[in-house]
Amino acid sequence: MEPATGTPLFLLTRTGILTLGGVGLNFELNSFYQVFYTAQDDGDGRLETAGHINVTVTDSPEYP
Amino acid sequence: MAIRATDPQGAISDAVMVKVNVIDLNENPWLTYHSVGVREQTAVGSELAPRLQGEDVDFRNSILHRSNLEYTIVSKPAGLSWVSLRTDGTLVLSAEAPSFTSSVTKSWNMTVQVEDPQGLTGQGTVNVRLLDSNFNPDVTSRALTFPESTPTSTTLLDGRQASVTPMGTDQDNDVL
Repeated sequence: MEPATGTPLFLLTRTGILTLGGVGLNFELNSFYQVFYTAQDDGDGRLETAGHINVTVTDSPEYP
Repeated sequence: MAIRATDPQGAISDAVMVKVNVIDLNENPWLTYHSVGVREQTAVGSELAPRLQGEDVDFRNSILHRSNLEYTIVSKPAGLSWVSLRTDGTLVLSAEAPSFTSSVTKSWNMTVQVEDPQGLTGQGTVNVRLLDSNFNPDVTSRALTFPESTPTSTTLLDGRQASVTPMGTDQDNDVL
């Protein structure tokens, strides 16, 4: 899921670092995401395996 | 060939033709150096290539044919128990080959005897090499939880760090 601006919610580098994208997550908007990725080796054929990460956003108290 | 006998005075002589028959004798066969590669996780029972082929000078005289030779293992290292040999020279994977990544030794030599139908023998060295195969990375699903107030650009997971479960592993120890 991406906001209307096209800024990704999550960024994953080629070395496996997952960071929060340029848009803050809002629990009230959505509390569960799945990030799908593939792991690729550097051996013969550069073989790949798909994986995913379940991301759960918890609620934080907000000013009334 | 012709042989002529002449008396000492040279007056009388005679010649005779002598036929010489050369009888072939069997000679020992021999086995040249063979090298066979085996990829890890090759199915047990697979035949390995190339098949051993002994040599014998008697082949030239058609006394013998290569298929008449029989092969047996004279000696092989303990680490090569997963390879057996049929009498026709075919090497067979009789048990699972070790993992290329975990095996310290990746090349072995064994001595093989070749025998012709008359029982003469010769020996040679057969080298067996373990070859690497690439396998897909292993990936396990994981779950992350963080509060909505988390600042943007925060690192949620660093798959390079040993303190967290990496995002994938590889039995070949390849870089992901």
